Amino acid sequence: MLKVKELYHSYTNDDRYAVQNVSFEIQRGEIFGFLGPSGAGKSTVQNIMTGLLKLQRGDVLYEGKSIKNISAKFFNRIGVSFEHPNLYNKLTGYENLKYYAGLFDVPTDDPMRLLDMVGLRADAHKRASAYSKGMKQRLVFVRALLNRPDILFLDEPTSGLDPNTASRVKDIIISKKEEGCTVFLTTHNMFVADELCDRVAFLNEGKIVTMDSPRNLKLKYGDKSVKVEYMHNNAVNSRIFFLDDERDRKEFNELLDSREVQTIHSQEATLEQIFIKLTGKGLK
Amino acid sequence: MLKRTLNLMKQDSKVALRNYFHLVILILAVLMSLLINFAIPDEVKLTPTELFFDNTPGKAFQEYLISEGVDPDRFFNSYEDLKSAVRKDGSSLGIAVEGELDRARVTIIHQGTESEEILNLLDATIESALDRVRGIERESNHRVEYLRSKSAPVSFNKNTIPIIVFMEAIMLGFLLISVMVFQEKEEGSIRAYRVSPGGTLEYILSKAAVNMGLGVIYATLLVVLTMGFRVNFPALMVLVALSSFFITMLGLAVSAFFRSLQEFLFVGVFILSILSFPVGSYYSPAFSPDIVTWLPSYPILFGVREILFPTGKTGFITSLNLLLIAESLGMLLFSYLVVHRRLMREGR
Repeated sequence: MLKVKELYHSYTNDDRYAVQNVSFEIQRGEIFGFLGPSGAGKSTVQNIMTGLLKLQRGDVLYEGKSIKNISAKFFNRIGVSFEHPNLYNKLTGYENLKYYAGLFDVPTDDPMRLLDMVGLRADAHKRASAYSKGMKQRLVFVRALLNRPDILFLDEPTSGLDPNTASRVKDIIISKKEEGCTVFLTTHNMFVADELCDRVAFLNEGKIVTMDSPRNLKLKYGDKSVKVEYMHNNAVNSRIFFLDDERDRKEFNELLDSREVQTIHSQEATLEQIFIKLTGKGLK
Repeated sequence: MLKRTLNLMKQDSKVALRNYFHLVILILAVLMSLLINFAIPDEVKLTPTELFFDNTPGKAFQEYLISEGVDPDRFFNSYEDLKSAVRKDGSSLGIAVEGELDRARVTIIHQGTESEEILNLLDATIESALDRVRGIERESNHRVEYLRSKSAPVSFNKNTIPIIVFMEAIMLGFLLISVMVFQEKEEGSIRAYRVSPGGTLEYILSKAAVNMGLGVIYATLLVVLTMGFRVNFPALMVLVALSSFFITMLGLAVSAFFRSLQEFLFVGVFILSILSFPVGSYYSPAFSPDIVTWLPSYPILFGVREILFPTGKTGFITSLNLLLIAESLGMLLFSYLVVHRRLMREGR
């Protein structure tokens, strides 16, 4: 569906690359997460993939066709949600969507239905300048859905949203995937990536560090351990057992038989811990 | 493409309305019409005011001038009074005529700033007037021929209308398009447009159409408020629309090179000043060096005047419109290339 081959990009047109040797493939209907801290090169890759930035070296192929040779009609098939809301502040939320829908050559969704999906129906006729950051973020998100795209590029789609709204946005992304839409998700939020993505790529200083499904990454880089909370001498105690270790495994079984166990949690690594392990730095 | 362009025009018009561009042109048109109708005089004397002292027997020179319509208040009873009046009024000249008419002695008291041409002309005029008082009729063998039928004189205040149409209604597009572009840059909405099927040409044409509309409304309103309805409005609208398109394209191409309105303003005002040079030629037709007549704004200004105050220059407006169409197409191509490279792409 979508193939990125040995992508390089330099903003200074020399060998100081913002992105170097980035290659990956995304299958139809897959949610692919691009995870990395600010300045890692995530947006640069997305901008090249959406044609906003000129392709300098390497290639981006959509169904085998290079982005160098695609026409304006290609944009009928993609939807792009930006991290920083970019709207006509003088227009209302509804007018912003209505105007944008008029740019496409394909059937578009009803703007009011989309606004309703993200809880903006009541504010549909307010000017975008009066929207909060979260409202603008939601408006930009549904604008990307207007043309019922085959490929969605989402840059930090839940940034600045309250947990309820973020959950609603995540549900919409999952439903789009179920409809067969391919999603390229750029984020530094490991929970969002973990929850939504079929596969993730870690990007650090313009290079892909590792790429796999969140589960495989956790299995590969995490420790197989469990944390047990149990009652002893009228107090809550806790202990971590590494199940690969024979002695720990034995003691864990003994504890299950002898004590009043209150909670047991598996201790697989989070994506953030794996990222730190691989790059030596956090995702923020 | 047409559907998309109309959609963009609708959006650009809404943004223009919400930026109060319509109020700006309405207020400006009313203010300018008030200025033309009530503040600027019908006539302005651009040469010095002559003051007189006639000390000839019977004051025959004074009587003759008064009979010719000269204001009696411009005559003084003594040479000293005349000199004092000239000293007080820096834009005046004193003329004292003394002695017998046949051998009249004329003294001109001047400020010292008058040109030699003015003084020589004055000298010849006084001599001619004295001859008439003396009853001497000199034969004249000169005749006047007109290239076309003589047009009605245009009052000073009405003569400023073409300049205001040119400077405000037409040049307005240059600044308004830059405001539109910088607003979109600041909001980032242009980035969203770039990832839609919308092209550069539709983007340009939509903005140009809105600016042309505003320019035509402004010019029509101003002319109706100052000259009424006895004007060839279709011709005026076509010329203003074409000129506005050209100037708007120029403004768009220039603003694409800058990141903010503040950065653009200095260069923008500089270009507008250069385009305004023909105003000098308008008031002093003798001042028309090639560098001014080559400016595209030169024929526009005189074209507006020809439509408002026709002198019968047949074919001038048609050829001007054809020239503007050719110039606009050239400028459209230039704007397209600049906008496509600088606004529709990043990191180049």
